[in-house]
Amino acid sequence: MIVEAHDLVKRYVRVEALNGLSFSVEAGSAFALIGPSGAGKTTALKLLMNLLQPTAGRASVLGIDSRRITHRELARIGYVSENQVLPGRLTVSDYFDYLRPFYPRWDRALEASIRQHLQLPGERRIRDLSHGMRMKMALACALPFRPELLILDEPLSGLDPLARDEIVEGMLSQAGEMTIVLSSQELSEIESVVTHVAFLDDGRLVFQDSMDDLRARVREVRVILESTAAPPEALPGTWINVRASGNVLAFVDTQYSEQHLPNRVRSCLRGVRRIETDALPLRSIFTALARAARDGSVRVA
Amino acid sequence: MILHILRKDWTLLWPVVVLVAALRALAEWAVYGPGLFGDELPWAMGSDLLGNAAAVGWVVLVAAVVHQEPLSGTREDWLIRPIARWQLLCAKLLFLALMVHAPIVLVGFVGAMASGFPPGASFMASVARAGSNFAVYTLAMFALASVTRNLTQLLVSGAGLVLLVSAAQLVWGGLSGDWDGTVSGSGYAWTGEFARALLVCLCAMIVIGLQYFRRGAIAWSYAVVILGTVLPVGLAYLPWDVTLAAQQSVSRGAPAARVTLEADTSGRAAESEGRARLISATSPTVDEDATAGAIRAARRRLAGVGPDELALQGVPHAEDEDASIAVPLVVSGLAPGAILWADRADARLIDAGGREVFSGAAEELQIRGAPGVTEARQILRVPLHVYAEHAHRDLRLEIDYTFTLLTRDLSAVLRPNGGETMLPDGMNCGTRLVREMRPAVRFRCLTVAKPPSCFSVALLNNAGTRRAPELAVCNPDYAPYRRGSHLFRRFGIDIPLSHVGPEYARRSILEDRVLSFVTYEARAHFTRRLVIPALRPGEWRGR
Repeated sequence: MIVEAHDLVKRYVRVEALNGLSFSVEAGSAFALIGPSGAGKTTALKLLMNLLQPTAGRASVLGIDSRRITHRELARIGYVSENQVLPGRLTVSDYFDYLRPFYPRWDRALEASIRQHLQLPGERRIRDLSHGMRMKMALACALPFRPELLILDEPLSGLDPLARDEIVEGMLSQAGEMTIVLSSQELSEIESVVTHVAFLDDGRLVFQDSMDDLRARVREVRVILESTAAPPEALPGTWINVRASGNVLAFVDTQYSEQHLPNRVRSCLRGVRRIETDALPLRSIFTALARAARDGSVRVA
Repeated sequence: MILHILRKDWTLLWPVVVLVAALRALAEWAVYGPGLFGDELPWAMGSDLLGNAAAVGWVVLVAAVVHQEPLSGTREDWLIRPIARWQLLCAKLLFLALMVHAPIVLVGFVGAMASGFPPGASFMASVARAGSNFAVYTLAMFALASVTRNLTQLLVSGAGLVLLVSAAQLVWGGLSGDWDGTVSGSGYAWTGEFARALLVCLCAMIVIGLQYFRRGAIAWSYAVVILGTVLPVGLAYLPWDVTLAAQQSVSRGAPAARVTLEADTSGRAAESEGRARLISATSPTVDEDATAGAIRAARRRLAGVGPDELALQGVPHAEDEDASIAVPLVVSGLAPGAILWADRADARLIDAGGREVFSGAAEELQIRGAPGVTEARQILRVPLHVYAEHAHRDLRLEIDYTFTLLTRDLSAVLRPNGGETMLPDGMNCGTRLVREMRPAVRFRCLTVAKPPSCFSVALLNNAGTRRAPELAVCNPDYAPYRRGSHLFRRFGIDIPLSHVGPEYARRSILEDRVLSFVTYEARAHFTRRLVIPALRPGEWRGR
């Protein structure tokens, strides 16, 4: 595992941002931390980067305790954050010139390629760049040294669709063997990138899964009944977001199994005429899980 | 990487560096440019203005270089770059050394050389000044910058700390009943300053260490900043014994064991007053903090007529609510010409029942050594009601003195009009005749070294015989190093010709004379106790 977090707790004066968060990231994967605002995603990433120190628990990054991460490890980690403060008085080119000597593995050809791809204006001061340009600039500064681990904190937040596409393309084009850990609310855009996902809520991990397993496991189920549907009082806890409309009862099954679903449905509902299932996009999975988490009806996988 | 970071900071901040250096150079020039007699108001104001502007620029520069990579917060890009913290710290300190203090050394060195001071003294003074400024002011500002994110935060924090210092002074002063502190205004003032500087420097280094090498230490850093602000205020109230011990430990000479002090109880107040001859300098003396350009009257003035006559500070007029008691003293073991300076005199009057009826500081006492036995007079002010109650009763008087013995150090003879001489250790002195309010010989010295604790001037005729009273000016400073943040210090005195005799008013006569200049330095610090077992205040009352 390239990143491991065990029972991370981060407590501020009045707020508990993380409450026993544990997760792990395999080398080479693209791991997304998703969850509602205030779930603790940014705090978790800052703990991994040693920008914050945990109140309790521990995390390791590249095999090093996160609290011991120094400039040596930072030469192997790229980090981009939506609210990163770049040195505004330097020009784009000046900043690349400044950063280059700090990274032993800096690839100038790759830098030129990325800068060209992202169309960064070299002579402009960083403070004069738009938010989107600054995010592209931050990404462009995080890639030329071919980091083993790229940590992205809401990299697409507040960007226009074109900038989002360019950044996602930038990530994909350079992904290679690199491990990516990102947090984002822009689930539609990152769905094509991520291989694993962890859902956080209220500073805790709700579940962690690979995208393939998640897509297979979480399905939208529509049960067509012979008569008008009404949700029964007792339903399996893995069925969330239950809605009834006419003779159709719809829900999201978070433990979908093609083999067992018909029997489970028929054991709970009478007069089942037909069962239809659909794979859900990540955004819909997130929405369903977030609602369920808010209602307190979701179970940790 | 240190130089790489430094180059980046230079790229961003060179205009500020150039501006601050230029302001500093102009401020220095405003001091030495007009020469020895450049203490006139326009130059002093110009130097003040430029010096203050340079100081503001210096604060901005320190803040700017530290805030290029702010240490508080988690959003700064540099925090996630492979920049070793020790390299960053070294780069910042090197930047300040090279871009702020090296120009100050250069400007000071060039200015001192241009003023005719020897290269060695000029260089050493410039380096010492820059070094002390760096160790105290720059490090303190660096520490404050390291706990803030931008100049606005730094200025607000600075204002808060100023308020904190004021509050601490109110508390300390209120608790001790002494608003000025134990050593304020005395030659021992350096001990408090040195301890404060040491504490501030230490706290600054702790804060910088915490901020650069410990994550999440901001609360501790703020605590140290506050301690480093409040505690130094308390150092102004160090016990006198402690400061005396510190002073004695760095003094060059052994305690003046031969000097003894006794009350001359054979006389009476009237006789004593009759013998006393008050001679005070009537023209202003100058002790200029040259770079700042502030001219202020010397705090204390020792007037005398030479070693062969009794030199006294005049009997001050008692306030309405006070009565002054004049106690004649006899001092032996004091070499002719030497100065015995009472830095502190704690007096107590005790009645026959052992009750303390008065306790307080006796008036300042400065004694000039005469051949044989030296006479002097100690003035004691007591509240009128105490005096009235005990005027005709026997009281026991105890005075605990802390004395400093000052002896002759450097001397020179120069023409009283247009004379100029360079003394060793980097002290350039000169004279000229001025005719402002009234004719006077203006004597000024510009120095890059420590100004003397006392100096005396006297006009002599060609045969070396004194033709006019010697004037002595003291502003004791017993520091073993050169104090202050300014390179050039100016001091001197205007010798009014009406005071020395109307015949000197004519330039031609004056040019036949010479001016003798002597400096005095502290050689020993020691205590003495004066006890008069039975003293009736009414018999010793002064005017």
